[in-house]
Amino acid sequence: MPEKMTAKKEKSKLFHVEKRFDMPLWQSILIRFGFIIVALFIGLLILTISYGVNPFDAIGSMFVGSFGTEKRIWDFLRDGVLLLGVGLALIPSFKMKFWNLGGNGQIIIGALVSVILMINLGGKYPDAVVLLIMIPSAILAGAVWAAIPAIFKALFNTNESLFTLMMNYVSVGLVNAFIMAKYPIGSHVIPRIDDAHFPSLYNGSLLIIIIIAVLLGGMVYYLKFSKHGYELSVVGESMNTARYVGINVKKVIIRTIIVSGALCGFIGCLLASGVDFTVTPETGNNMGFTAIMAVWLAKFNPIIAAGTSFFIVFITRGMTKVQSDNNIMNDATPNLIIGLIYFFIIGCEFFVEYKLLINKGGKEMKITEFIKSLFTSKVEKVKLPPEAEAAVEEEEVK
Amino acid sequence: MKKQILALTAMLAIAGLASCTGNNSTTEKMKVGLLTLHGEDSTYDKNFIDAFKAACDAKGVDGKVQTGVNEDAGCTTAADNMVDDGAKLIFADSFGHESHLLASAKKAADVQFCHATGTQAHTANQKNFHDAFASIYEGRYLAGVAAGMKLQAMIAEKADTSKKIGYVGAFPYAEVISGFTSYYLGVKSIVSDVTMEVRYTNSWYDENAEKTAANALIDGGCSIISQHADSWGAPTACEAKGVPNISYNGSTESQCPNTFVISSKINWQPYFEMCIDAVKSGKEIATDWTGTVDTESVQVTALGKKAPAAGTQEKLDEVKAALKAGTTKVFDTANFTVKNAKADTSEFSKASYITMDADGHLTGYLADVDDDGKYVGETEAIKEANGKKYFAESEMRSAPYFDILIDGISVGA
Repeated sequence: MPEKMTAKKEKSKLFHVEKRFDMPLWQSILIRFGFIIVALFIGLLILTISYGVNPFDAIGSMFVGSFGTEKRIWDFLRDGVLLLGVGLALIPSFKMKFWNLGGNGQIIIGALVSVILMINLGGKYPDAVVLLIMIPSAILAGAVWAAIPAIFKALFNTNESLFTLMMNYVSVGLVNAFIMAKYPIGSHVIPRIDDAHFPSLYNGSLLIIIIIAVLLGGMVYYLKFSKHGYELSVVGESMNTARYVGINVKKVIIRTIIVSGALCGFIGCLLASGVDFTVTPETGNNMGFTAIMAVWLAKFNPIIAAGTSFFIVFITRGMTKVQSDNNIMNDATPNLIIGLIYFFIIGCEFFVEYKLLINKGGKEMKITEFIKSLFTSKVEKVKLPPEAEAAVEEEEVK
Repeated sequence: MKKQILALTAMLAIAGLASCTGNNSTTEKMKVGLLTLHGEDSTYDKNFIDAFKAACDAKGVDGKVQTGVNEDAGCTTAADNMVDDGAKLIFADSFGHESHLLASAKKAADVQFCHATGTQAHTANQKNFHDAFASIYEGRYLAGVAAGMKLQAMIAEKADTSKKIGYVGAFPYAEVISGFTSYYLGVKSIVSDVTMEVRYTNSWYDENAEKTAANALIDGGCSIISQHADSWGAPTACEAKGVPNISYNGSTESQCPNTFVISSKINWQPYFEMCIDAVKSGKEIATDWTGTVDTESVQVTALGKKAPAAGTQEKLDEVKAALKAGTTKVFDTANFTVKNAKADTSEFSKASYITMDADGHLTGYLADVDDDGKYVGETEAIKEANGKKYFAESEMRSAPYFDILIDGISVGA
């Protein structure tokens, strides 16, 4: 396959890929939208064939899962902004081309610190006091968790993807160790903690939504209008350029990653004290990774990331509802379909970035022209010398 | 070629869409929900799901199952969503669901919440929250008798057969300890000098860990393996090595035809049906309910076709009758000793609450029945009936509280 991707050298190459520069926005949106529809269509087809699910009911279930009742709408918004919050935390580091795969660990360590404080101080001191200690502690924990790989990267140029990834396992290990020590009996889960909950405004979701909305505004400002934001994007473009213009690269790396980790730690605190009221090795539900997809698809634009985050939460919640409505007794099927949708969304970026030209009978054409030609091929077919004809035929068979 | 593929895909898709017609029935059925930790691949959850489906069909209610419900706030959310959808009765199947399900119960006073294996309902003071379990130790004991018959036959056939058996357990706490102790006592009632090694996986469902533990036990000279964990790991490891297996949660004969002996299981259908009836007629559900052999809640499956020893069925019928009549008590203190319990330093063997006579038979034990999170025993669990002293498992609370490591059972690394 790779050799076919390269520029055309011989006539007989079937595909030819070209970088696009001229795609209008509406067209790129249309392509993405189209791919999502195709993915949904295939996903529903799988459900229909394997479980006899009525696809129209399933689409209905997906919407009901996110918007069916007032509570579901609030939950949807809360889950969406939490994912966005992690995305916002990751954007600065990814913009700097520091591949922070440690979001999970930074969230979990923030949640663990919060839970330890909730258990030990909750009930003994007023909730407000505990929260005032808890929030900075969780932020600090997340920042430290991210700073360790950042310092090693800045000073010794270690590989940050591996380092941050491994820090995830350390944090999960710490959670397990804490649970084993504190709750030695039973199936090792911390029961719901009833003290020192994050304050709720109208309901448990609204305050979280407001906080993340403020964070979103702050992040847009930080990236677009602050000196820090400019510096980190220069470092991301080229470290040498950054050095040349007098940016202290080491300082920028460590500072940016601390911001990233601190935000993740804060999200961990929100999860522990405002959503889960406990901590488990699965706290955050892999948001540290899911958020990477959300921000990558958004090209690291915080505002578009809000859209992608909500979309991801929509399909996740929707598939859960489809699963329970149709009594599908395994998690593999919904995961398969969610994976399929992700695959299509990521795959369609290829078609947004590149133009695929198909060589048919020695003539290069766009996909649309190619499909048209399939139906009118007999008429338009160019006459070729017999040996070239044979070569083309052979390629087509492949 | 491509044209045909395109056309075919399109046709398939249209056919798929068209073949499903709406099936909305107009009559409003009562809605009932079940939350499970894993899906049908887990033998434990499958046991719940099957019983739930059967109970819903029998009672003509609309049952919905949500699988993959974690033991965190996800459980509260899942239960809340079921309430939103109009469910009047919600079950959850995993020990760790309890406090999160309780949070949901506090918000929806008109919906009944029933939690299997839990310990908090009798102290939580929440009217619509209920715990249930079954005296599964009786089923384990019966399965142990079948294992004992098999071990006896193996020894008769080959005199140097190891008298050590193996057990793969999930977590070191009462539910698992009570289970393997009753199983061991069943084996011991046939082969009096049997010993048992237990290995923990520290997970309810970890196929690799269960397989590894079973293989390690087999390599360590165990003649028969049983397990209290929810994957197919241990039974399939036994099948591969030709070692007899005593299963749990249901028959594993389909994949292990040569080694499956018997399985004990809790049949949740009677409890589900009882709760559905109670909600329908507006009656109260018991706060803490224990199913027994009598209520058909504790069952053993049919014996395997190949592995069990001759005469096992007759012996089982005899023991079952004695259990029903109360003439045999599983935790009869005359049948086991706890001399080493004091030497054991592990946290689950609460030596300070144990008293015993000169031979090492239990005379008193304070069990942690109230489960207030302090892990301190407060309730005397040794009772006397028909002139026999016995440990009164599941009598003061449905969830097991027998957590003593008795002589003859060792915990391997």
